[in-house]
Amino acid sequence: MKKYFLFFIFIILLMLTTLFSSDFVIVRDMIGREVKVPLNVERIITTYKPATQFVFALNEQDKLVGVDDGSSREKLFSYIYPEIKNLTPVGSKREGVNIETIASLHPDVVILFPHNEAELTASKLEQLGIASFVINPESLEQIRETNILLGKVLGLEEKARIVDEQFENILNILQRTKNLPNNQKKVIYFANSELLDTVGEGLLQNDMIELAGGINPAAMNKKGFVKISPEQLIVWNPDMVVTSQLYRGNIDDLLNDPKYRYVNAFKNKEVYRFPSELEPWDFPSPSSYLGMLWLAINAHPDLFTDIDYEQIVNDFYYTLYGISYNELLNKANN
Amino acid sequence: MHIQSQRKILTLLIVLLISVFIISLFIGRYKISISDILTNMGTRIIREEPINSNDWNVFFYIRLPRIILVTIVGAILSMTGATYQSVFRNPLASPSILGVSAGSAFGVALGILLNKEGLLGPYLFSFSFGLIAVFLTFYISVWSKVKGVTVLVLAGMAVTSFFNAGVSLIQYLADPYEKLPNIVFWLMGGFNRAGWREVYISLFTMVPGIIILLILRWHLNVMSMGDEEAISMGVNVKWTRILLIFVSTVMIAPTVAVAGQVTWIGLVTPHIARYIIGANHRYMLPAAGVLGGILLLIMDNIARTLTPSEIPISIVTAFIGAPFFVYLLIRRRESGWNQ
Repeated sequence: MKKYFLFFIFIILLMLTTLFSSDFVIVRDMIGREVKVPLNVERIITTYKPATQFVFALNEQDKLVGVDDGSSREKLFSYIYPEIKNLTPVGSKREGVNIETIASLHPDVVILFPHNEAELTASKLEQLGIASFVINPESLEQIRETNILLGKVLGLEEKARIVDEQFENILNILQRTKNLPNNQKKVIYFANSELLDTVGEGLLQNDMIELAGGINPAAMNKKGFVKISPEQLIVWNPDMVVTSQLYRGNIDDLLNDPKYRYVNAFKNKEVYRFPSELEPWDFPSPSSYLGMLWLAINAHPDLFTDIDYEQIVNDFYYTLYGISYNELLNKANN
Repeated sequence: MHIQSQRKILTLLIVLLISVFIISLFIGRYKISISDILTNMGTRIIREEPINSNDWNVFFYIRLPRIILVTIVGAILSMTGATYQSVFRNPLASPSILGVSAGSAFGVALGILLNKEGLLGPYLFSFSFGLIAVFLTFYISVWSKVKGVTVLVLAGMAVTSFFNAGVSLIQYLADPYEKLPNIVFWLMGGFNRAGWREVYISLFTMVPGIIILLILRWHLNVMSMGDEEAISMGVNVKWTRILLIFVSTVMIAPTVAVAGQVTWIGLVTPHIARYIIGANHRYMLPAAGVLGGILLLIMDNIARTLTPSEIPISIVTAFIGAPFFVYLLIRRRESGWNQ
């Protein structure tokens, strides 16, 4: 009983401190809420994988006190920061988060997923005096915004700017494919975990294809994820097929499927799996930019003969996580 | 109804099925030239060598197996639906009532979660859990103190909700980026995965299943009158019932593994068959099978051609099936159950 009473008093005090303290910044999050964030953030909770990754990209992982259920199982995170396995799981985007667990960790700030009752969760946390903000890194533009916003919240504007330069750099290289005339573009079909499950307009993968000098045949169809029939794939006749890193099945089996014998991509063996073994570059994350670069170089190799792809990838990882891509791969393979 | 006219109707239905089947072969997102297919068929029959034509490819590797499979699944769902309805003497019985569909769906989800790749993974799991579900249902009803046939339906409801919870649990446990999209994709239902492999697997369970059902047609007639009557006519009710349920389950499991849970066909088609041809299973059962094939073919044609993306088949079946069922309820009092 006494314990509960103390806890109650603690909550009251917590609310009072947020009322009367003035050492905070006001930040607008990505669904337009105005959030007061304490100036010295020491305890961070993330509620889905992309949020965790943006914290890693600013090298603030040692301030994490709680993460979503999935983050502690991520290869990339555990190679950079093995301690992530010991952090308290607080829930997930799909199932929602446990407010009580979050409160018991006394975070300075909680980074929330978009959609899926984000606003409701945020207002519940607000009642407990816990600052939370919603990120929405689902497009190439929003990936950059998220990083800048996080830099503001964590007081790391300078580091965020250096990360942003990496994005900028890749966008500059992609000027070569972005504005290709239509007759030089390739029809690029993207497959999710199944070959016949693809992406329409409004999704990150669709924008990646367009910037990489490709035409996504499913774009004219509908927004979001699209399920098609094998006939439709043959009608579209793509020049190139790229599957998600998480495609279930292997590329050789696809190439040997008699159904698609006459489809250009299969005829010319232009069927590839997105990198990388460390983390999928085809998902919304900072690495989407690398995925896009990889796609552009694969689709139009002759336009990038002067580009040192490996160097760019290594620099990118080193800038964000303090360890180069090749080093991480070595860690992963040992 | 006269035997003569019933035979005529059944023949008509078969002719209709064959016509719908052939027309379906030439409907699709990809335009096939009929002459090209016919010449290729000729050469294919004369000598066994690969034929270099994309039209033939689409026809032979995509459309033909899909259309055969749709016909098979439609027939299986309706015939097992008709079987359940008479075994339980319940006009609302359908393949999902015994928990078979839910059990099979759980098996598929578990197979994906455990990473059982390859051909037989999802099928074997679907099949085993379909059987486990149906026997759970059966034994719950046998052990229960309640008498009568309704208890089986109640037990089926419990088992169904148990396995549906299992599917939800697996979705909760599955990796949201890796396995979950796959489970959702698989269970959403549809025939776009259909290939020859799926046709062989379905035929393997369907052919013996249908033969057994057709042999036992007379028992179905007797059983729909009630247990006492059936026993007085020398039918071993308990074992016939177990056999019929077992055979139906063996047939349904692969359809769930191939196409997910296809709703409504199993419930509605037997009623249409009863209305057209009467309640005598001698004609009603084959008629239900043929009708199921026809209806599902038409619905799948809509699902695969209306838009560039595939429409999940259950959306189409429910949209057409549910209003039709309501119409039957309101307009047709003589659906074979009120006599």
